[in-house]
Parts: sequence; structure tokens; C-alpha cells
Amino acid sequence: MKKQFLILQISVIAVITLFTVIFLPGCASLSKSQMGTVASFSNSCDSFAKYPSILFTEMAKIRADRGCFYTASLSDPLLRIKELNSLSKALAADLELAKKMDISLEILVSYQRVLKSLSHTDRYNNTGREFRSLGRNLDSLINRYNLIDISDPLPLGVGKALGRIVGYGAELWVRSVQTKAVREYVVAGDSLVGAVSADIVKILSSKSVGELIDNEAKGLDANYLSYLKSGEGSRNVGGNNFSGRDFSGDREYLMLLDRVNKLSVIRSSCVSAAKALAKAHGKIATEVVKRKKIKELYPEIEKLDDELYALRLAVKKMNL
Amino acid sequence: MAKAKQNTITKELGELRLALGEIERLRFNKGVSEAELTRLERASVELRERERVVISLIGEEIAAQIKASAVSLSDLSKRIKARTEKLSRLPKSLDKISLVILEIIDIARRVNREF
Repeated sequence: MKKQFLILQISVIAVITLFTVIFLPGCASLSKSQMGTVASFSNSCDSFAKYPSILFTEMAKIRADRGCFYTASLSDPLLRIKELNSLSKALAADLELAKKMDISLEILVSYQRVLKSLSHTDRYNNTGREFRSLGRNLDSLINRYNLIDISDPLPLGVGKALGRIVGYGAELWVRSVQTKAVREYVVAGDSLVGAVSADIVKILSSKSVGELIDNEAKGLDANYLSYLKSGEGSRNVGGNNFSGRDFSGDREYLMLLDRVNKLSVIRSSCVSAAKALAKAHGKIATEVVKRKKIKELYPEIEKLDDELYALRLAVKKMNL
Repeated sequence: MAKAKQNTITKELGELRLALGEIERLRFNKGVSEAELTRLERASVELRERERVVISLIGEEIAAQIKASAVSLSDLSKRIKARTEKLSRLPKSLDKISLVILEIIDIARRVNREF
């Protein structure tokens, strides 16, 4: 009778503790598909983060390369060296500036990283693990308590079982807190990510960027023309060329022209990626506010039942 | 930078291109004296220097616009990071909970003895 009463008491305590930790935050945890949308957004961010600086880096390199055609056209050696030095200095500054083009993307990546970290399963798994190990700690505490010998010995095993129950409840509690936080931030972040993406689309589609690309195309033509007019491009060097003419400059020009033409493609890709990014975040925002399906809750309910069963077994084994 | 100023700079880039084109045309004209060629080359190099400055100004403005667009998102990231760290500190309250559980077990045990 005494044993049954103690079992009842401990079960009631366990259930109250469990339900308190589960229902205190009052919301369900994220489902696998919801976690998947966060991961998908992370991938979109990672691929997008590389683009804007690529566009500006490529423009800077083309500018330096076409500058070599111009420099070769100068007859004054001192001016030629001065211009080469200026080209080198400008290239370094342009490459440095290109890195700044990724700042907003780095912030976006940082946002997705903290979001990913916040929604990571380790956040509740580790907590649950620590709570479950609490069961062992409790038993060692009970053991030490019993050694004092001032009261009746407390039963070993029940502490472990209770710790596991609380551990599981804590895991669910952390998942609920986590879900609430993810939902709150995703909803807050949605308009911001949308605004950043819209700004990037607007900036990359702007007249200024268009003018810079156009300047490279026209500058390449002009610089190569100066190179040819100066006679540098028509020197007869003999050997491996057509009718004694050197075509290496022409080949270089064709390769640069191809790179200039690709600038517009890179620009379009950046714009498309920015739009896709906003869409990916919008998907998270839509998904994470959805409630979890009952089917997805079953494994958690089964796990809870297992833990309660373990507690019942532990109590039954108590020697009263 | 205001849009008007930005337009002025991009307009200057176009004008520089035209000026450079004209100087290059003069530089390769037949009958240009050596002194005049040196003068034209210097002018051409100066214009190219200005072209680099203008390109740099446009680039800096684009970078500033990109940076400004993400300030609010940066603030949100900081808030999320702080919340994540707070969530990570949660298990530290385990010790207190363990003592409470121990007390509960003891009370249950004492109440049980009364019956």
C-alpha cells in the first residue's frame, strides 16, 4: 500500500513537472520540413554571397588589362612607367573596394548563420542530454544524502528516472522556446531580408553599374585602338603568326571582349540570386508559422511514454 | 550622395571618355611634333587618372548604398545572437532544478512514512 502510494506521489510529481516545462511557453516545436526551409535559405545565402564582389572584381581586372594596351601605346618611357604604376595602385584599390560590395551579403550570411544556429537541433538535444545526465547526478546526490544517516535512506534509481523525465521535458521546453524565437525573428527578418534584396536588385540594376560596365566595353575598344595606332599591335615579329604579323594582341583583345560581355551576365545572375534569396526567406516565414502536424508529434509522444514507463519500473524496483 | 550628384559623376565618366577619344585621335595624327606628342600623352594620362578617380567614386557610392541597405538586418542578427546565447545558458539552471527534485523526493518519502 505504502509502495503504491509512493509510486502515485512520484508519478504525480513527474507528470506535473513535465507538463509545467512543456506547456509553459505554450507553443509547439519546429518540424523537420520547417528546419529544412531554414537550411535551404542558408544554402541560398551561401551561393549568393559570392556574386556582387565577383562583378566588381572582374571589372577591376578588365580595367587593368585594357590599361596595358593603353600603356603600351605611350611613347614616353617615363609616362609609361607612371601609368603602369597608377594601374597597379588602382587595381589594388578597386579590388579592396570590390570586397565592400559583399558587406550587406556578409550581414545576410551572418543573419542566416545565427538563424541556423538558433534553430539547430543541438540546441535542445544538448539540453535534453544534460538533463538526462542529471538523473545520474541525482542518484549520486541521493547516495551522498543516504551516507549522512540522519533520516531513512532515499531510494536509488528513482532519481535517474525522474531526471530523464525532466530531461525530456526540458528538451521539449527548449524546443518550444527555440520555436517561439525562430518564428519571432523570421517574421521580423522577412521584411528586412526583402528590403535588402530589393535594394541590391535596385543598386545592381542602377544606371551607375550600367555605366561602369559600358565604360569597360568602350574603354577596351578605345585602348586597343590606341595600341594598334601606336604600331605596337602591328609589329612584324615573324615566326608563329599569319603573314608575318603578330596576332597575340588581337587574341588578348578577344579574350577581354568575352570577359566584358560576361559582365552583364554576372550582373543579371546577381539580380536573379537576390530575388531568389528574398523568395527563399519568404518561404521560411510562411513555413515556420505553420503548426506542427499531429503525425510529426507521434515520435515525441512515444518517447515520452518510454520515459514514463522507465520511471514506473524504477519505482517498482524500490525496496521499501 | 544625392542622386543628382551621382548622375553628375556618371555623366562626367561619359565626358571623360569623349575627351580621351579626342586626345587619342590627335595623338596619332600624322605630322604631330615630338613636343606636341609628349604634351598630348601627358594630357591623355591625366584624363585617364581622372577616369580612375570617377570610377572609384562611383564604386564607393555603390558600396555605401549596399552597406546602408543591411543596417537593420545587422541589428536583428545581433538580437538573434544574444537570444541564442541566452538559450545556451539555460542548462546552467540544472543544479537548482536537481536540488528541487531531491527535496520533492524527500518530502514524498516523509509523507509516505506518515501513512
